[in-house]
Amino acid sequence: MKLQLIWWLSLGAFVLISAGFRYHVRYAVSAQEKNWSLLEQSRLLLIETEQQAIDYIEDNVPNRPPIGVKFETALCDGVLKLYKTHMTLLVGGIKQDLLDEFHTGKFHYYDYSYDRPSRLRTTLKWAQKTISRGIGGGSRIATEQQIFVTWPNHCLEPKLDWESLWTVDRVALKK
Amino acid sequence: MRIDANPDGGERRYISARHVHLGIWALVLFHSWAARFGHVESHLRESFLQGANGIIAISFLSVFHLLTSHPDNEADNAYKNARAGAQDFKIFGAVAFTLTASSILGIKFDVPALLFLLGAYYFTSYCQIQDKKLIGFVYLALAFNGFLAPLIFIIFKNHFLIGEVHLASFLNGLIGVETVADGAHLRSESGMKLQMVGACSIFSNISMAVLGFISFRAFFRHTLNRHCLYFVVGLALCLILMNAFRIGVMTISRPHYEYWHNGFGVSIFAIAQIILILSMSILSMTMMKRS
Repeated sequence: MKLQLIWWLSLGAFVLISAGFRYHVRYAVSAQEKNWSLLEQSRLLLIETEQQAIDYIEDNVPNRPPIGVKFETALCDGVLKLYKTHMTLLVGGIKQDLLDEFHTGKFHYYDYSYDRPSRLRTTLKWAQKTISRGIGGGSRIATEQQIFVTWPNHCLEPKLDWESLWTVDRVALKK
Repeated sequence: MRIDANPDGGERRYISARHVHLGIWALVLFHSWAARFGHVESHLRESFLQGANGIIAISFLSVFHLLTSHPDNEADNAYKNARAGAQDFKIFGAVAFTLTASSILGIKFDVPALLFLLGAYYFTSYCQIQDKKLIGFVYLALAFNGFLAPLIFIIFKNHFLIGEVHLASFLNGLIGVETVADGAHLRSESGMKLQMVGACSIFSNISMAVLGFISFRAFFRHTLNRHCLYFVVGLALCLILMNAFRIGVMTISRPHYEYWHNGFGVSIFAIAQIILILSMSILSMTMMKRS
């Protein structure tokens, strides 16, 4: 009876540890795959800063949720666009639009990942390289969350606390 | 660890085979839970308690029942309480190592793949547990439901969806609900236009129903035979009719769509499916017993 007890206690401990690993890894992967709520939170924050959402930017692939939102800015004549997507989804026309906007306007690129804080990238060359790598496949960055914000040259930068956006989303994920 | 047999028949001082196989069962069950609850999307977490996942719970319960309950036969009982051999511990070690390693590496579909191997092992090996073939059947059905069925659906998705829309349109026409099938779209007289996507298809419900049928029979120690095929085909036809009816009433108006697609209608449909699966399983057992 003692032997059976030892067997079940050690088995229970092992099951909890190994299943705990699985829970954590699966959680991390699915958090990386999470697409929609971060975009929605960005949209709400931009609306709070008096940007008027006018339309969603649809994905090229049918039956997928939108990957971005278009805004009319209160500060100038022009359209501000916010893309939230994986690198691998940036295909065809959307990719070209984005690259054109990088050349003609201003942009911010935000990289969101599960295990480290967001980073702000502003180098055009770097963004182009990253997009190419992401589309090519096999890149680690292809699984991470990305946000691009582009706006016309003559417009002011939208004042957003991007750091708090990531924090809010991470808290929401943990619930 | 030293394992001693007690020749006096007093306190047993060894680990019995069924305790080792219960350990395998617990590993697979908890890893399945962890994979499900590890999902960020809340609807997947909630769905654990809903209809389809109730069937998976029944299948695990069946295996637990087979491993723990005592058959009437004394010889069987002694067989079941036999000391675990090296083969039992080896298979336990292989399962524990594979599940832990694959979970750390984040490999998807590892649990169904392992269940397939496990099912094949129980079905073909000489391991010292009673009812091993029934356990093998249930594990194989779980593996089919978790991996092969979704794979088949992905490969033939367009054919399934278009075929199901046309069938739904035809069947609803017979009861006076007129709809027009156009590819994977269904248009009604009310102007509603529904697009059939993977989640609406009955295909996954059919594979789940087969799992429920096998598990429920296994719980009562009824193995499968060729007569079961008639009941499984009957079950699939009933489910297809039910889903066609559900799709038909969704096209009547927007409130109907909301009720049957997102509202309480979904629960009604899930409960009806479980009742149908259980009824068909009981019917198959009683009719075959009589014959």
